Amino acid sequence: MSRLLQRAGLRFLLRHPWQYALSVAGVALGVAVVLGVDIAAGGARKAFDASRELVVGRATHQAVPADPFLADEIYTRLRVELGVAAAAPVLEGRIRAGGETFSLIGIDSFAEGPFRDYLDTGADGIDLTALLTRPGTVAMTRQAARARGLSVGSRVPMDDAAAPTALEIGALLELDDARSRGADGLLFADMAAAQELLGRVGQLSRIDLILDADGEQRVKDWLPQGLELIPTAAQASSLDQMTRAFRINLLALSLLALLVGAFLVYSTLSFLVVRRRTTFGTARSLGVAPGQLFRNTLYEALLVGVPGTLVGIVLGLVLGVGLTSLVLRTVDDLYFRVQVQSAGIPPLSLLKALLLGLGTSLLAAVPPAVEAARTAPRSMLTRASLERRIRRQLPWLAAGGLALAFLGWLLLRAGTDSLVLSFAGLFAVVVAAALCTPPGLAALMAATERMARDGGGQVTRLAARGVTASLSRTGVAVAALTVAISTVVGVGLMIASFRGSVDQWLQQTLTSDFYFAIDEAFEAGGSDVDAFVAELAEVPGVADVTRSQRRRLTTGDGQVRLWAVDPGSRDLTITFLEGDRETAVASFLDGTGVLLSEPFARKRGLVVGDTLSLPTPDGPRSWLVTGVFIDYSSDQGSAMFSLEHYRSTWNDPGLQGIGIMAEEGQRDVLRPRLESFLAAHAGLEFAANAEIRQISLEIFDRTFTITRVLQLLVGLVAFLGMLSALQALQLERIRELSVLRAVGWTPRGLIGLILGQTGLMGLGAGLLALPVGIILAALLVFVINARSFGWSMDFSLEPMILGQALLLSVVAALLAGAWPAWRTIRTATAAGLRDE
Amino acid sequence: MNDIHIRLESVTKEYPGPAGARAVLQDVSADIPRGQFAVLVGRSGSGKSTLLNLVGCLDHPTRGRVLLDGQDVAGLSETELALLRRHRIGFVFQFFNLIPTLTALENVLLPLELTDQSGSRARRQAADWLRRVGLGDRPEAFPEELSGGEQQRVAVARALVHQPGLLVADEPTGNLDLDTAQSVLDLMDDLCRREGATLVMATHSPEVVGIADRVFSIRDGHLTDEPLPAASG
Repeated sequence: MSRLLQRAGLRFLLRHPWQYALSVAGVALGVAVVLGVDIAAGGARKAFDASRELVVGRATHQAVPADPFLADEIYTRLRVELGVAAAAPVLEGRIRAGGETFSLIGIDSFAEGPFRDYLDTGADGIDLTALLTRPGTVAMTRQAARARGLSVGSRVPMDDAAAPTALEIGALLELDDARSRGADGLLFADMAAAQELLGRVGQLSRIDLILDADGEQRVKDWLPQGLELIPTAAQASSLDQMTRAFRINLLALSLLALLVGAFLVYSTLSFLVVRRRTTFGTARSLGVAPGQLFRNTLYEALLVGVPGTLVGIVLGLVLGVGLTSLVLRTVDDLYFRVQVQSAGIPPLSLLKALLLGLGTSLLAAVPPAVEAARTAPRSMLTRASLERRIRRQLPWLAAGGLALAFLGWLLLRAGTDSLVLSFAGLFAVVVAAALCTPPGLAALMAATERMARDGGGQVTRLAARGVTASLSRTGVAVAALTVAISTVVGVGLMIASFRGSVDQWLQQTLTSDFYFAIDEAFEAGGSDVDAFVAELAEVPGVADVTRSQRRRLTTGDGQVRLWAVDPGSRDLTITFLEGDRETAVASFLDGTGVLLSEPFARKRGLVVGDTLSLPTPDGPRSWLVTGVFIDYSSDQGSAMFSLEHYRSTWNDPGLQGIGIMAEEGQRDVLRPRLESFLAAHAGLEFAANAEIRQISLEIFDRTFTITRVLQLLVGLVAFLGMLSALQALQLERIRELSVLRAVGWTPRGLIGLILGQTGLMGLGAGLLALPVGIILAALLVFVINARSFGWSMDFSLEPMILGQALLLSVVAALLAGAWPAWRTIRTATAAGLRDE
Repeated sequence: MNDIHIRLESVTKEYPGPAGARAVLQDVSADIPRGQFAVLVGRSGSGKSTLLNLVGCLDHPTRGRVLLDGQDVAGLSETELALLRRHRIGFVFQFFNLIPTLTALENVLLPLELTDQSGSRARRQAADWLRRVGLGDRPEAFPEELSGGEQQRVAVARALVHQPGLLVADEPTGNLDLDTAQSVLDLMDDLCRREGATLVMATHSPEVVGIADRVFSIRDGHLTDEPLPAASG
């Protein structure tokens, strides 16, 4: 490669610092978004892994009950009768202390050694004597204690337990940083103390085991009915699957940002090539070979790509911190409890960002590099030949776009189970839209020109003609903006549709006026939940009481969420998607059938008429699926039984929720009466219907905060692209515009011409983006969301979103044209005429 | 011997147009011996530049053959054509076509670098050529800092620095005042004769016709051999 040509390329970039900076910024933002999302997704996974590793430790199996708890004598018998040495009892529950909710884990410190090294009380291990000797004593990690200003001997008041009234820190656990992040919200106590604190005397959540193949079989054969032996690896994999769709969705959005960034690089390098056609033509006439020009253009791509990638990595690290907290909060809201903390930067993410930034820059440079290399030297010396060729290619571009859209449709149809294929189909549609943009723009401008001719608008006619005359540049710029605006429209409509559906679902589902949420502390305080409900029903002004219990049942196929409901004297407030309502409700009430939420049915491929098998204390049992209902409360879905049937099957008398329906006109007076119950009972939370709806929608909005942030960044990258492209275009036209000034155009007229042209391009991009955005939204709603989370929803075509997108497109384009307009009128006419 | 023998055999060049192909050159044949200074005259749009592009291997004929030293250039690949131009052909254009982001010295150095001559020796050679065209004191000037005549002199130095066998000049004085045009013309004529290069030039300038070895006229795509002014006079 010629060093002089390299130098010429670098100097060209440095002579156009704004364009250069914008291109670098475009790549940087694209890389930053991908890296940020990668760090965030990795953070979520790491936090989960760390939590899991802390709790599961080196256990290979867990013996879990179909009942909520198992009797601790089973643990004793397992050790004594079967002689299993590597077994450790575990009790888990939640506890509120010091204004925080902690996961309390009860352990037998003498059995812990082989399972959790940080709880090993062997010769070099930790001293947990305090936990054994003093009630209400717990252990936490040294880092967690430091973060809360606690030390050994500190006392933390309990928020709502009957006794004891405070927890004492009896020991500090030494963990490395990575594991301590996952253990931030964990408290450990001796089994007897934990059973007392959680109100579970004589009960365990599970027994952890380390077993070989023989041992596994022996334990399986020995375990009493109602207990199941589950390998821990299978559990980890099912939990990992839980967040997979969420992570793939984030990745797809970040890749979209990079795609728009790649457009920017492509656009910039195309400009560089087009603007230097004469230089390249001269170089070719001097004997520069096509391959040399190709390599030279790729080298220039690296001049943009290397600084862009490096800046992007720095920005990505910053963005990653913010996104991690957003993602972890969403994971905490929707999937499982994690502490909202950063989980460090994986080196692999940095490497990926580096390769992706440089790779994308080089890939985006290939078409302009080919263009530079293959054009005959003679035609390089004339611009007109390029524009002629582009115009000749318009039908081919349209045909290519349609073919790609068809391919996208095939991918979307073929990939019924594959999210990756679905996203590939979606991306094909986006790129197809980009390919169809130049022909679409040419058609729009031709129509504008015709209208302006009839209406006598000279400036509009000139502006429209200017767009068509420079299609080699305007086409790419408008395509980048079209892709970005269509993304804004598509994601905006999808969120609006989703939010509308969730809101409607909440209205239909939350029919009680007030709700009580009950946690473990309620029962730990010795309260009888059924007596409490009976007491509530007698409160003056209460018309009806509903009860519900939710529980995760651990099975060999992962966790199954059970939802047990007693609708009181009312009908079930769910909307059926499948099944005959009357039959379904009858089977629900008599316990012969099970109702499945939509995500549950979709994920397990179950339809009405199939059977669902679940473990029960009396052994596995099957139910007929009689209905599938809409439910947005979890993308894992749930299986719904009547509370009566659930209690008799799983021996669980607990309740998590109580709904209160007020008598007509009694709602306001009922509230203070119900609130007085709170004071008398620990472990209760109370909320009105509207408050729950509001909290639910807040969680919804929080879930989509990251989507909106990414959407904003995609828009920003596209705006930079438009800015860069339009600036280059208008700066190139300074000579032409100076001629207009020389023949008597006023500065105001020129500003009108420049802004008219950029505004027309913005309007064109906006108009083309609307149908594409609607198609993207439909694909996101009906294909991607359905496949990712198993939710179907109503499509909502919000005119406000469409109007805003059109406005955004025009305003972005006008802003992009402002600086070139200012520069043009500031340039002396004579200087403009001399412009190279 | 470095200079090139040019032979055109029934060359036709057509360009696509809205109303079908339009022939710019029709059945043109010519023979320009080595070392000759040949001039093409004709009205604007008559096909002079097209013919120069064919001779300079910048374009391919639609029909017919262009032979340089007996070799049909139609049979050469793009890379082979680039190598031919790199080693054996120099160009001077009406609008100078210097690389705007390279200095005068770097512009002259470029053909040497392309022929793998770099380092201090090549720089000395390029600087020497700048001196020969009268710009020895402005090696670091960028094209925009030079006048039109100065730019064209840099272009001449660049065209001849690698000692090509053929110099193709497309109206090299078209953008220069009379005095500057004459000095550039004399420079090219002198340097080509000294270096032994065949020179083919398109021009409107009567002064050029006066010093050429041979004059071709192009009209309506046809080429005719014009008598030299001295011979006719």
